Amino acid sequence: MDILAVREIKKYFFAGTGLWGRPARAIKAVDGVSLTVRRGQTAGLVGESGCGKSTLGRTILRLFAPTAGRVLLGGEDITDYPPARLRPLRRKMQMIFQDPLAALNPRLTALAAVETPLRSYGQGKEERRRLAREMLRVVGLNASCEGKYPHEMSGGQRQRVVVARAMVLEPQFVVCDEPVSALDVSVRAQVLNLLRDMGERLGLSYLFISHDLSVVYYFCDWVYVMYLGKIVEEAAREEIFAHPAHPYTEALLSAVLLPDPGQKRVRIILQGDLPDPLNPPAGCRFYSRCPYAVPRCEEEPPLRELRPGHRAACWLH
Amino acid sequence: MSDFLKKYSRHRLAMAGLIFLFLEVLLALTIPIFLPLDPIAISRSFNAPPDAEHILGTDGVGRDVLARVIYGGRLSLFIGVASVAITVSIGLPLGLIAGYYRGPAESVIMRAAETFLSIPLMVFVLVVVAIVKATAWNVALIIGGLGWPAVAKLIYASVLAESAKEYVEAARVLGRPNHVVAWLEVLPNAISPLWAQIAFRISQAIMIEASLSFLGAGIQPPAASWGNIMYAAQDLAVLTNRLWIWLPPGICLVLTVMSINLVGEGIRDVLDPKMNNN
Repeated sequence: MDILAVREIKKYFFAGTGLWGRPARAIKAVDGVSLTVRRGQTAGLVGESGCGKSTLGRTILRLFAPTAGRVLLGGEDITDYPPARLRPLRRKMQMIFQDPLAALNPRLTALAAVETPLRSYGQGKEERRRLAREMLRVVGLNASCEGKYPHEMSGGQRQRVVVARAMVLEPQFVVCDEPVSALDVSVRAQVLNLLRDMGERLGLSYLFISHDLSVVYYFCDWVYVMYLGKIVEEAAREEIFAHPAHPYTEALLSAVLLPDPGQKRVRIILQGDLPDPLNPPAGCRFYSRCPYAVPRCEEEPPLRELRPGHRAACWLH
Repeated sequence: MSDFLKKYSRHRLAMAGLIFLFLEVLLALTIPIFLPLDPIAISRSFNAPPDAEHILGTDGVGRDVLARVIYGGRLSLFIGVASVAITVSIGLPLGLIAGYYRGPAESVIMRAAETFLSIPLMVFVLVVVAIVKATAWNVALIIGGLGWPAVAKLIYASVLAESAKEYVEAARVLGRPNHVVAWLEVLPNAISPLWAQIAFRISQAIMIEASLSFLGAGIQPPAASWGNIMYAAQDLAVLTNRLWIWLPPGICLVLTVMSINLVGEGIRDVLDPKMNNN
């Protein structure tokens, strides 16, 4: 059973309406993405900055209204729910943010930050405090942190508060948007382990957004690779790391730092930047930067199954 | 809160302003209890310089100047505070709605604000006062009702900047209702520029009332306001020879406006996180 199913979702942003109501140009941040997250599993979403992965995460949580496509949470189609109907469901789907300092209200102490969300779900004040205190302990913050404001805490402590705040609602599905990339390397592992422990404790499913493949390898069961608003490859973790099919995935993998610095490897260095999303190249979107480009790439490749469960959008396979 | 007071008290000028205002309000409220002051009673002596019976002398029709300055102060402070209360209660929600909800509300509110800003305040007040009676309430309503665009724009800009922050998104993900996010998450973080603006607007309203009354279009005698006491100084003989009539309300006006502005600056500095390096 899938906790989350996303069907052909699109999110376009319109770059300013013309003065006389001329149709605005669309930025296709997410352009027809389908993905599923199985119950109790973690799906990774990988791609470089600006490829639309954060937009996708936010569209799934209905922070943005999708331009097209469906979002199913636990089999329930929530795409067209109005805000009032969506609110009770928000408990089930939570989010861990990239920058915990920005994601915490500067006026709320750690305890208040964790207690406040419970207010929308009708527990008494005493009960809320008790739950919040308990959750702060679970994420590894002691009583001395309860009264601290975000600017008085360390990055790792802040991210623990963000995790506690999401977990206190006992969600089923959590979007982690680059949850450790703003943290010191020394505390990344702690936060990742915390997320994993919480996942096991609550039977959670994660959508894990990251540009860091070593983190994804550590954390995810299934990997989606996104480029310029589209999924270009998906497979189980071991499969995609062992046999990357899409040239873009290959280039990303070649950039991962190896634990052994003496180990030799061919490094694929991509030329240029991500193309302008207002003006994406026709045909295969990776055409302009692909080291193996052939004339056929001027035609858009579909996402095809190469082996069971392994799909890629590339004419080479 | 005690933190706030500690930081504020380090600001000497702002503290002086606050003490002055405190004493002024206290005096305006309590002196009439101890002294038999009547701002409209006419005595036998007129244009009399200060003496034991009339500490600040009497005006052209024989009214006690001290009594008039004190009751005039009550009125000036009332107009200042009431008009700003009106300004804020209109401007703050509109600014918040425009900045948080955006969309059509934003364009309607901001265009209305620009329209209101293009009305010359003094001329408009003069016209309205010529039509309705210039009571303290009416003057406060007009000044307050016309002042909202500045507050709305201030709050709008601040809310706009604050709404883009991630904790606002987080609050929505956490299931807090939209209006709760607007009023309890965004507004408290966006409101600090308002405090200095409030102080500034109170002093401005007092000035407008004084100008209006000085022109003879504001509070009408026998009721006293600082402005209409000074109206007497339009007579050259009063201006040059009877300082006791116009100097006290003038000094009160200057000191009050100055104090309020100092308090506003003090609050602004204390609330500015960049000044908070203790």
